[in-house]
Amino acid sequence: MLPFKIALQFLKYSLTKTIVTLLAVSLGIAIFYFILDASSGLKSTVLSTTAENDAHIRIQTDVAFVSFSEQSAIDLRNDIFKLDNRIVDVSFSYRTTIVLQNANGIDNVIEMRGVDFDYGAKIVDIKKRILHQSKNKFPEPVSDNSLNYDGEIAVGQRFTENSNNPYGLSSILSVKNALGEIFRLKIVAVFISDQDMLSSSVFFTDIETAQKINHASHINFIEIRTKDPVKSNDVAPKISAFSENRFTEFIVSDWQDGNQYIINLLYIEDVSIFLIQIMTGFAVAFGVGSVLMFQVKEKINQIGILKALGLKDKETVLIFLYQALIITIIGLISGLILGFSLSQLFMKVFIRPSGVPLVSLQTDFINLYSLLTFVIMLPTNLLAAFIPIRFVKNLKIIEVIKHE
Amino acid sequence: MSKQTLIKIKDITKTYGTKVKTAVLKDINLEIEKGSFNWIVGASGSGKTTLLNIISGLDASTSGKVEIEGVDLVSLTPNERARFRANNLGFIFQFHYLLPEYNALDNILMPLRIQNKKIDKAVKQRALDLMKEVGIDHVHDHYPNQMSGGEQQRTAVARAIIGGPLLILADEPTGNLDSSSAEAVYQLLRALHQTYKTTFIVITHDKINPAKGDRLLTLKDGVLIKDVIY
Repeated sequence: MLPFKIALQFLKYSLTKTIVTLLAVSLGIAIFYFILDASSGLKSTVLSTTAENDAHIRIQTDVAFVSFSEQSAIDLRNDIFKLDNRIVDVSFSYRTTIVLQNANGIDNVIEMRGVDFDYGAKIVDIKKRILHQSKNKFPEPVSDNSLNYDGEIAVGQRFTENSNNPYGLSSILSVKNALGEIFRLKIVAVFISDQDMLSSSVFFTDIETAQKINHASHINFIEIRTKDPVKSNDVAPKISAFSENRFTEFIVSDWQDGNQYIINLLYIEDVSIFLIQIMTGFAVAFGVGSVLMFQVKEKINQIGILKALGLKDKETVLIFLYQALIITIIGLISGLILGFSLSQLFMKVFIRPSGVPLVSLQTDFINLYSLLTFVIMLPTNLLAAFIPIRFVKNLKIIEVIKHE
Repeated sequence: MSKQTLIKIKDITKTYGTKVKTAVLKDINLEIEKGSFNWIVGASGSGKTTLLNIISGLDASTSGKVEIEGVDLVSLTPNERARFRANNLGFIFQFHYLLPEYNALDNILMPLRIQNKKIDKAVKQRALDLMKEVGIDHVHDHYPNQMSGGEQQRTAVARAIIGGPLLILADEPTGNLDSSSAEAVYQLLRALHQTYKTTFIVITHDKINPAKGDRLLTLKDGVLIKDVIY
């Protein structure tokens, strides 16, 4: 433990220098963490306002099922899963359009998505997005003819906030289908979404209700989500080939088809952030290495005398390794606290009109990025300490003490 | 009582340079008795510090052999040599070489810490007693930059003796002191020698007055030209 105690004493003796070094390292670590978290948050925010609001790949085709639990439905889902292990969700839906007249007498076209709330709703994670609910319920089929409405729906928060739509939870809306028939739909849930279109012009309902509006008895969309939305274009050709063999008429669409510019931007962001990360990491490591080198040069007499008194080379090296370790670990912890506080402040200051943070960052201190920062910066800094430590190891005592 | 040999120096030479070779020590043969007080004198460049460094294992000779208590330092690994120094040798240098990060007491205790000895109250008291003996008990909690040159050198002397070494090597211990402080340090070394019967090798180019029993070795151009026991 003597090398550790000596390292501590060296740092304590040069307290001002140690504090300045720690501040510099902490700041570098904080920036490293913040960039890591913010870039990932930005990416996930961009994806959540685009790819995460819909299926990544959709097969538009008419498939008749009596029930989703019937074997042919289960087989179809399993067959699609088998196409690529990056497929994480397969669901069926029935989509149609309805017309809703607003308070000013203007007709608005609304998309009705009939989904299976116990399974298919994972596609847009609607269950996680619910803001208000009537008695914790999701839309379900209405079979009681005595009720004064035909179906239940979940609407977006932005729809309820639109002054032209004076509706809220439990309101009953009158809508028309393509044939001009009127249906009454009760709002049982309000969901939130960052995507304008989804939040203001899409109603979620159960499949039966959506089918009832169009007098249909089939599903018209097979919705697929991939693990990484950016990789959906690798999976889409497999889905096309599968559909070719399975369906007579179909259209396969990949969310990236209309969003190529987002993919390009994300790629540019990834590359830029990667370069910034390398530069920040290098700057911090260089800082630790040069401070340590400065310390070594400053302590050259002490190294000589300790070696002369009988301290082994390994123990002398350990003194400076411990110094690097102490500076790095304290710098890492304080830097992560600083970076995390910065990210929380960022989320509080930069918010959208809806009150949602502009960029969604990590809210738990121990998260993937703090661990990643620790795992990357600890060995990088210790590696940077290698040159001064090597200098210490090779230092000859007589070079320090000779004066003849 | 028969006198025991502590150090055997046999055919030691030290040459610097590869193309142009400069011999700093030439064929030195010497035996140092246990408990003796030895002076090595000589002009600058005569090789006295090189000889001291070779005896202590801080430097290696080009040829020849040094044994301390039968141990050939050259045959030891660097770690074994470091441990041998910690357990058997005490150093006093010209420039004091105290650790500025530690106060006087902790500087004195450092050799014991390097020897992995437990520093308890009794050990601390022994260090304080030693400080009193060398006349620096009043500065036990002072850092080197708060002490005079003489006090720093006395601290270095106490540090050299605290571990109970077989041999104390002092390389121009008064070179950085005024004449009155220098004389005081010499008197202190002699007093400690009397008390602890430790073997001393002291290098100097001061004019000295050897006491009875002292041995005076004179080096010139790397050759031992005079060896007198008073």
